[in-house]
Amino acid sequence: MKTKFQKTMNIASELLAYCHQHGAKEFHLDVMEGSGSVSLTMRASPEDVTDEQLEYLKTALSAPRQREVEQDYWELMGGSEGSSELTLLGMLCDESEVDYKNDTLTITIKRYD
Amino acid sequence: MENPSQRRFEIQLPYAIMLAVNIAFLAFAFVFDTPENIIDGFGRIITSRVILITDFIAVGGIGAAFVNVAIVGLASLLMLIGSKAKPSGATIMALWLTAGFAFFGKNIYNMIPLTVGVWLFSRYKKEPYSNYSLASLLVATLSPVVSEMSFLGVLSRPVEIGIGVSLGVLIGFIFPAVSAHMVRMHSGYDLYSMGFAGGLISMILSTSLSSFGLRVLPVSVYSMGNNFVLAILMYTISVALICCGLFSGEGVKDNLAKFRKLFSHSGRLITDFYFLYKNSIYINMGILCAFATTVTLAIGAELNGISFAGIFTMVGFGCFGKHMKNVPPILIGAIVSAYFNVWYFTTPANVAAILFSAALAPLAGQFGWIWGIIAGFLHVSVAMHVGELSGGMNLYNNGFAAGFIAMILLPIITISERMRKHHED
Repeated sequence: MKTKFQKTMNIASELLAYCHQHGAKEFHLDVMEGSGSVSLTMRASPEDVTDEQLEYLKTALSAPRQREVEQDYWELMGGSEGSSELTLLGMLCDESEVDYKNDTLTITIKRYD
Repeated sequence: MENPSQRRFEIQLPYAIMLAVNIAFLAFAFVFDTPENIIDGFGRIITSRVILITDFIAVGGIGAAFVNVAIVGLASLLMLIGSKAKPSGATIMALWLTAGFAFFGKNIYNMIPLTVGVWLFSRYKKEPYSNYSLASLLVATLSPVVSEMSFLGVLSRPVEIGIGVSLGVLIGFIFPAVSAHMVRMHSGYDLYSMGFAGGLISMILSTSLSSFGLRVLPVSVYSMGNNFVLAILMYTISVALICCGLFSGEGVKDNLAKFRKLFSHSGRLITDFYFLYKNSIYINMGILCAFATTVTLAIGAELNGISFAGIFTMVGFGCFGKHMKNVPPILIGAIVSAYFNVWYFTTPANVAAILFSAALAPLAGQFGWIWGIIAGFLHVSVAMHVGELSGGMNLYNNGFAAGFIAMILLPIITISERMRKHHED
């Protein structure tokens, strides 16, 4: 259980890092733990996110869940100060949604056990 | 609308390519050697100590070495398919890495106990074995431990084999937990992360053995004089990979466009080029194969089991972090370091350190050429010494060295970059 929550914290940290790198100053994070799943929703207002970056974010987060990669590399999640290789985030999640409207970026992530 | 048969082909292409490569190696072996020589040589490969540096081409001959690569490769492929692991950048990388190290330490005998250990760990954790399929392949970094203990020549053979196999199972059991934890220490800037974990485990094992009077003696067995034949083989593989990348999927124009995007990544773990750019990654893998082969020949080194392991590793990471923008700076630093250090420039350990220095490619990708050259330069010095620490029992010795370099350089680079930005602002 400890590992499961640690993974959730690392995912949250990666989402925060991404928004921070793109100039967001205010962050809203919702975490919902259900039976057998967890979902995270991050809302922020980044200052400098381009269409190309948004497209890459959507692509990376849509990476299929890769449990064999997760097993070996999940501790890397959330540890980056510089660039974040978002495909790892995608590989740790089952579902993702990215929405950018009225200068607000909303990222929703869902993971099943 | 998507054609289902085309999609099935797309998904399985990486495994089909590995199958073709292994069958080609098998054919290559029987073209270049007689079945008698191959059987004889294969027996020597299986029963050799495989401590660093043991080149299987020197131990068993070209034919037997390629048969070993094909057997190990096919077994690994079966294991991945059997455990229902889908092709990904990580699994493709692991398959090429496995093929490379089957020239240089990994064989069917020493891989089985380690794999069984990982399987037992998955049972213990009550998780599907497929979750640990990557660790199952990469735990081979410690395969010399199994062979060294099994063929020590001190106790009776059955006792030694019992000790070797048991130790292999035990190491396989603890490896997934240790390696997953270690990855944090270098923040994903050492691509051969498993080598870092393997280095620490083998260091503890080697120093423990040494404390009780069992010193692991180093080995230096390597082949020479096969450059012409092996260069033709490597360039053929390069061309075949580039053709796969260019002509599969959506066509040449689309594949080239995807290939160009690949250079925007630093290569830091985890960068799954296969997921992002699909089959166009084979262009990258082919170019890296030709590049690493050319570098080996240009510095006057031999194409043998050691350099093959380095080149195959370069190919494998062509879908998992390496490209022609982040690899050259590291190699430049490594070549300069190897040229001026106290060892003969093209001694196998120096050549291995040069080729495997690309473990630090993400540093060059993230922080630029200068830091890349510095990282490559330092890597060779560390790699030439850490092998002694681990008693030569860690195949991915350069991953062990690269881990230290990343751990030390990363905070220095971070502070320096922060100060630079501060002054600019």
